[in-house]
Amino acid sequence: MRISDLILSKQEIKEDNARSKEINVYRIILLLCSTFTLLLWYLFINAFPDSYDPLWVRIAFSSLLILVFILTYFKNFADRIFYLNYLVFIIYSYHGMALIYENDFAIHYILEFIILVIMISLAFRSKKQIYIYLSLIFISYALVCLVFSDHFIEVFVNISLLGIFCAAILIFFDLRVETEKELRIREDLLNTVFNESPDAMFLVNPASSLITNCNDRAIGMFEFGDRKKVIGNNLNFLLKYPYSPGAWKNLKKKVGKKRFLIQELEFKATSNYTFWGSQAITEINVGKIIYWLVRITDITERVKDKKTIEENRKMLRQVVDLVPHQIFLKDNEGRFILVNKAVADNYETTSDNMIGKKDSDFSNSEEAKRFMEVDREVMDDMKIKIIPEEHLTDKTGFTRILQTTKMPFYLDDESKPGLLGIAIDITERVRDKQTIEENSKMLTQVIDLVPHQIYLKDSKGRYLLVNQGTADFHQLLKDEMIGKSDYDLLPEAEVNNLRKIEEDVIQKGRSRFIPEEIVTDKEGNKMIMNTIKMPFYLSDRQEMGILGINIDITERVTDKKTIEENREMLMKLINVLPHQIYLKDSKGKLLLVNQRLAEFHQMTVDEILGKSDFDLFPEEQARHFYNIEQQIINTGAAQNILEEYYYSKKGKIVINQTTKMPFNISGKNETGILGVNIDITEEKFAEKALRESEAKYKMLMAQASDGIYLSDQEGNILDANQKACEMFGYTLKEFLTINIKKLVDPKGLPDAPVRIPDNNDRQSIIVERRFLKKDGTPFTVELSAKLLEDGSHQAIIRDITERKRVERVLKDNEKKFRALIENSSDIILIVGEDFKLKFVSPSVTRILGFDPERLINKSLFEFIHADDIDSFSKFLSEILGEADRTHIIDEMRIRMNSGQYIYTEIVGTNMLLDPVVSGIIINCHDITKRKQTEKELLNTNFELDSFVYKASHDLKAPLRSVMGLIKLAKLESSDDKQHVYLDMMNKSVLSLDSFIKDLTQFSRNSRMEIEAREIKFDDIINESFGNLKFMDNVEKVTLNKILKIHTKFYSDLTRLSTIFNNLISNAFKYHRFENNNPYINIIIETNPERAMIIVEDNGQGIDQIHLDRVFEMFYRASETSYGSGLGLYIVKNAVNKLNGTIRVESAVNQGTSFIIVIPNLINKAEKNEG
Amino acid sequence: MKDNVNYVMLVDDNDTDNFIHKRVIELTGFANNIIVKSSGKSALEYLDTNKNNLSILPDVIFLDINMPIVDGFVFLYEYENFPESLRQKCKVVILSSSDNKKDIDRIVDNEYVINFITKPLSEEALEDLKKIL
Repeated sequence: MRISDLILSKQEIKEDNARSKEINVYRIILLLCSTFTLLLWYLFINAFPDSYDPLWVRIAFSSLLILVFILTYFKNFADRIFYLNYLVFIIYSYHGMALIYENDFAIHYILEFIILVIMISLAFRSKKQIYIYLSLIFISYALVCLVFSDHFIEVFVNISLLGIFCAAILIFFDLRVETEKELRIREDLLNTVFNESPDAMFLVNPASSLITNCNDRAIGMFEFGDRKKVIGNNLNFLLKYPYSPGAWKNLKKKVGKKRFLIQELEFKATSNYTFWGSQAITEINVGKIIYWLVRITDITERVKDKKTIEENRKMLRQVVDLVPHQIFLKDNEGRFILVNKAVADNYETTSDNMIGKKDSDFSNSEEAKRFMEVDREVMDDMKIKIIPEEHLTDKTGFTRILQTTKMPFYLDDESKPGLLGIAIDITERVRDKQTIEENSKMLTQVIDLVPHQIYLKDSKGRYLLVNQGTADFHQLLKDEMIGKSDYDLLPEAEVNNLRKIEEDVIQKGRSRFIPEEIVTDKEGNKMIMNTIKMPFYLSDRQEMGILGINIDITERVTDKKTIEENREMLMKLINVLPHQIYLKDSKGKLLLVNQRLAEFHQMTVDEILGKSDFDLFPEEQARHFYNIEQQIINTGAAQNILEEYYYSKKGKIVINQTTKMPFNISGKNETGILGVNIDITEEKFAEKALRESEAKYKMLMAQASDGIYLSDQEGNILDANQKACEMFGYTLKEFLTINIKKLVDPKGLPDAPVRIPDNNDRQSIIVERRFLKKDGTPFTVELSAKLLEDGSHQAIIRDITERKRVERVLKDNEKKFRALIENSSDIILIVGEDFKLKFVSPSVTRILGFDPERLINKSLFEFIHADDIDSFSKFLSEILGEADRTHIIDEMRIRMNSGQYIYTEIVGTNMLLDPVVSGIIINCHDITKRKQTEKELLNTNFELDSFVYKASHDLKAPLRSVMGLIKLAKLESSDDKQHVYLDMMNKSVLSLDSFIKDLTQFSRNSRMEIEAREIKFDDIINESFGNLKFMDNVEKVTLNKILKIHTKFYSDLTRLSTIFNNLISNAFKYHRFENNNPYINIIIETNPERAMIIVEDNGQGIDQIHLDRVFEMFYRASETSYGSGLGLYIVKNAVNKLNGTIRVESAVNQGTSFIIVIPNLINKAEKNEG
Repeated sequence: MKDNVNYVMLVDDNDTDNFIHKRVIELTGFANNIIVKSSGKSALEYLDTNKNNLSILPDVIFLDINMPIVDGFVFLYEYENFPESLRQKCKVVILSSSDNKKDIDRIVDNEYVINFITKPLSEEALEDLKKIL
């Protein structure tokens, strides 16, 4: 028994097994009891003949038990039979008791009774029933003893004996039942554990990795659906990756360990759903077989959680790393547990490298000591501590200032607190503060030095800060100015105006530039100021103020006027020039342009001013100009660029010749650029087009498939392409030294004299000309020459030798084809889709007497006999239906010019799709003569047939009469001698009769059509044999037919009959009747292709010398033969007619066999029927 | 049929054959009366004349196929026009020297023909015939 069965069989199956076991026990007990009782009777009667023991009672019981035994085999009774059984047992027991009583408590009967009780007890199902049974027996027995026995001791002994005995049985059964129960509980427990386990369990054969069983959970987990689908599978089947650690090969390495566990494997259910699981394997021994109990726990959730935590932690690390501040976690001992990238960077190491190390490993001892003291304090006091400025020296020795926060931090797995620290680098911030202070100081000094007025006002216009220049203007001290407003310093009207502007600046938050502001100073002088006022946020007052700069430009303004006048004149001048003229500052901004330039950019002059090349040209181009200009500015050397491409933003291309020179812009005190662009686009494009066309020409010449040459007026070759050289067989170098006139084949000259094209030939002239190659072989070319303006000429030559040849062949072919069609005895027609004649071969005149010309466009149907129109239409539709295939109609009557009809065979091919023919080709072949011959032949055949029929009948009729007369004579005469004569006469007449029959058959065979019909061989053979029934000795021959008709066989019935008739009658006629056992065997086997027929006998046989000739006409191989010599000849002919083969094997006095193979005409027959 | 046939009719144009057949029937005692007709036409006439007198109509007609004018086939064609009672009584047996299969097939298909016997008529043939009558 297999452990798999033990553990996994379903409860019901188990109960079934238990029951069948119980029933078997019953059956054994029943059999034992039934034999036991009879055997004991025999023993007892022999030993104690006097005892009372009627045999019939025992036999009755015995047979009753046997009956019960038999009934147990009927399923329907099996359950109820126990009760009947119990009844029999109890009666049987009472019978035992009765015997004891009747025989005066004889000891052997008591023993029998005890054994009987033991056996019966075994048969009971439950303890209860045994109790009832035993107490019943015991009480009855005690009563019997008490009532019928006088002797007190005897009663006591008897009762005790049975009592002890019954008790013993009870105890024994109790024990047995208990053990069984315990086993069952354990088994149930095991089953429950196995089946109800939340894990999937498999029993696996460790030697093969095949699963031998599994629990329900496993089926659910892997979605098998059915236990059968699991069993027999390989364990690897469960895995997602067959090479993972749970794979068979890897598991095998662990064999020897009794238990092992593989964590986190990926498994795959049949639905391809994958999950994580752990695999625990326990090796268990069942007898000699080792099994693996594989327990798979679904730990997908756990694994998922773990992965999530890991991911979270990773994310945290990344986030922490991204924080620019230093974050670290230390344990109670001061070792780093976690540091972020900023910390690690600070020490120029990696975070991993720092874990587990202390400050002392990175910082110098003094710092480390200081850090650790603080750390200790935080951890011991459990307080957050912030160190505003901590100085820390990094690896490069640079001191950084950090603002550090340290707080106690409880780590999960430690009782003592750790420390979480965040250090923010404030080095820069501290440093910035210092710088600002310094800058502020410096700024004051600087602004004091500036010759302009610089000042800062609050929103109310009060001065907060002024520079020396401002103070000087107002003729006050700097400090005196602070707190004053313009109202205190300037005339009111001016100030009102000023305040308006300033308030506007503050409100809108936008700078204002006042190019020319008139300010009156203390002396009353009007000063022209260039003023900038800008909003300025006063952080300490939290309001907007005004920062202003006033520049005195009084002098400058007066100069400007003169300059502008000059400039206007200049502008007029430059606008007149056709070139672009411009002036740029050092940054490339256009300061001055002429009209021309503005036009180029499609702008007005005003629009374009102030723009740079970057606004006007694509980035790349602008960058290029800028670089050149910077170079000019730097070196101070003018540059003349002969050819420069300008791509305007609008995509226009212009080519300029440009001159750029440095130009000192006095007003700006910087070097700018003065440039002049002269447009040379058109010239350049013309040049380029010329170059390209020349290149194209060169390419064309080189790649042309025709030869091209250029010659001067005299015919000297100036240039030629490769192809031309190849044609003539010269190299280019040689070719250039040759005059084209010398290459002309002089033989061809008379036909086409050489002519150099003259000025009148504006068009190309094309001629065919024969040239000679370098090796002297002539070749024909088509030459196309054109006179060029300078008197030279260019020619294109094409080799047409091949074309000429093909043309000639085509012409020949056409000629042949024409001849063929014209002289054909067939009529060849081409008709269009509408069946109108498109072409008619001239032969129509000869055959039908029509004029071919007149037939064109007439309908084809006009010439078809009215009776044939239908079949002809069908024929045409077949042709139309299938292109390029030839269709034939055997017989069609066509009208001649004379109105008569001739028979033709018509062959048609649909070539409508052929572009050359585009019609149906129809070939009419005159078969009138053939038709006539056929008709005549048919007539002749019919006449012959009638003749043979008539002749054979007329020959036969008198013969039959003679035969009748002979018979009659024999009947009416009793003279023996006369009988002999009459018999001889009869024999001769019979022989003549059969000869006539042979002749008729032969004549039929050669002429009649084959008619395929289903052949019933049995009927044919019987009929042939029936024909022999009046012959002598017929009863001596045994006919054996072995017919293996696997397939229906179709052939010609008449001919097969002829064959069988002849062969069977031959076999019979030439038999040896003295032979002990003359026989004729006919073996026939058919299949879809053929029939094999063997006719064999053990007769006289044929001598080897005759064997080759037996099938010859009138050849007779036997001396005893009274046949015509036609039989086998007819057979041979008939077999040939059926396309079969016949051969003969024979040995003298041994026998002869004819082997015939005839094809099965089943297909032909079915076609006929279909 | 156990008793002898009362009337038989021989229809054959060949007198020799008629003689032989008559003799054979006489000798074997196949029939009590023999009517001999030497042409199909005279045979038909006889039947037509006596078509209402069933008692002297033949039980068996031995018919030759190959006869001038009214041959076996024509005879059978005409025979179909006789009343039902006559056709019930007179059974036709073909007696011919032809063993042409086509002839035999054609004529045996006729519903009034009960047998085909190849000439010459023999005792065995008559005995066989007796069995199927």
